[in-house]
Amino acid sequence: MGAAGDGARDGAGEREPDGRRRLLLVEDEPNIATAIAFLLGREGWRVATHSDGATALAAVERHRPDVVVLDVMLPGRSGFEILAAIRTGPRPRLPVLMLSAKGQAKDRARAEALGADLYMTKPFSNGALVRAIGALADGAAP
Amino acid sequence: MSEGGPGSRLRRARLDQGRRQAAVARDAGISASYLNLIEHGRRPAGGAVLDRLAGALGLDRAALSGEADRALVATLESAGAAAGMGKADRAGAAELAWRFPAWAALVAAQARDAALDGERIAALADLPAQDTAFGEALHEVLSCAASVRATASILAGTADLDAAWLERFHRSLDAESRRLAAGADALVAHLDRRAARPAARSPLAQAAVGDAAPEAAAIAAVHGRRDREDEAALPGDACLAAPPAAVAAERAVPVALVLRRLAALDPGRLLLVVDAAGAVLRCDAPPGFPVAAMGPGCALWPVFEAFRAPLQPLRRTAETPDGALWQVDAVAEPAGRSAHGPIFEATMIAGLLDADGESRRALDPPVPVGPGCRTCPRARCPARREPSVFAEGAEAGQTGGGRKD
Repeated sequence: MGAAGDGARDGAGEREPDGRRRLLLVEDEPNIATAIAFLLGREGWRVATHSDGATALAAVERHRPDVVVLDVMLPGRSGFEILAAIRTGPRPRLPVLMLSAKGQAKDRARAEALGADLYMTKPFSNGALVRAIGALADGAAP
Repeated sequence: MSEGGPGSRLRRARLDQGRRQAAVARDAGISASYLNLIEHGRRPAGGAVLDRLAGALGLDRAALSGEADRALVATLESAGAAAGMGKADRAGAAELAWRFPAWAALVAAQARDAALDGERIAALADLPAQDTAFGEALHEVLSCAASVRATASILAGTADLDAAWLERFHRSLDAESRRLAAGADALVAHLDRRAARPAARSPLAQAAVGDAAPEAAAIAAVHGRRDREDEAALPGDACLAAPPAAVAAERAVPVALVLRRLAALDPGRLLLVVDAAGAVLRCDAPPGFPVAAMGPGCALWPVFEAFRAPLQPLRRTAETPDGALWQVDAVAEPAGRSAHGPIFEATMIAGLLDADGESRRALDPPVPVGPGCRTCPRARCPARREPSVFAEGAEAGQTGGGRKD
């Protein structure tokens, strides 16, 4: 799916001064965001969370993440629209994992058509999510 | 039996019974030579003669004429095609229908059941898009379940969780589990309301497009009473005799009444009644005509065009997103009166047109209708007022809006 495994990804390989990788989590369910932030933080990631779809693109520019985890149903702007904007923006190959409660085949197909690297549905396995994000950051197909 | 016409079927049936032409002809009241000509296809067999021959052989007329046989063979061929059977094997359908009619009927019945199950499954898969209230309730439950699962998994799998995180996750688990319970209750209640609707169908329950709330039940009661009055005013199938406007003029009844009677007599027709505010008061939708289960309908439905010229019946051809053509009749007529003038209500019926190729091209350009913007896949529609949940529609320059979709 998408460009996973392409190797040279936009922004991939950049690190915080302390060597930590950066994740932007666009998710408007605060308790899900807290759990994911905890899980990834424990794995050494620096996690920024953002809950508003309308300003998510600005957050991408501001945080310059290595990987974006993007909910689909967001207030202001849908995850699909944000993904489409990322793919036509300055970092078109930024790894994006879509995480959504919308699990129908047509939703998955739409994400794939728009260039999502991976589409995971809620509820999700913590371990699978962490492994998938790590694989995306390493430029490997999860 | 399926090869040839009624004559060869007659001959085969007679020989199967071991009877002579003379005996069967006598029982049917015709000459043996005439029966011989019929059996060899030199004289047509139809009408009363075919009835008498069927009676003489103790058979159903449809079996002799081939009507039932053709339908059965067509069903068997479709079933074979659906199962991936090759053309050569499918050609044996006629032989199966003739040699083993009971088995053939069983296969055909099971094929029809399987097709119906497939339609039901497809409808269920599309339910979150068709019924936005259901989709939102389901999303709420799944989001809560995701939160509960992620949090519980952290709590169960982290031995050295510090006190602050522990308290935070416990609070989260408590809040999300309560929300999950409430969401599940809402989902069940919604499904119960949906399940209750078909019970009162035909034609009362279809009045309510939306939850079976008290106000919807009141609307349904009005339409139920109207149905009974309609039948009293236009009993039987008299409304089928001529175009709706002509029947209405001859019987001195409103055109809308004729349209409602036509719909009552044919469940395959759509019946839609809207008020001047665009609210759907009644919707009896047959399979194939897409109508959103919730929310407003399609602004291009001819029922709304009818408001432009009240009391003037209109006929249009409409095309649904699946390419099917429908003949639509609509009219707007007064349903009441205020101090400022009549209060109009528009009625529309739609019947599926069997039009392919030439006959399709001969029709007026059809009106491209849909179920309502929310679930309509048409990307470029001048009447679109909100994004579609389908990809094509949503990519037509629409934003996701402010709602949490």
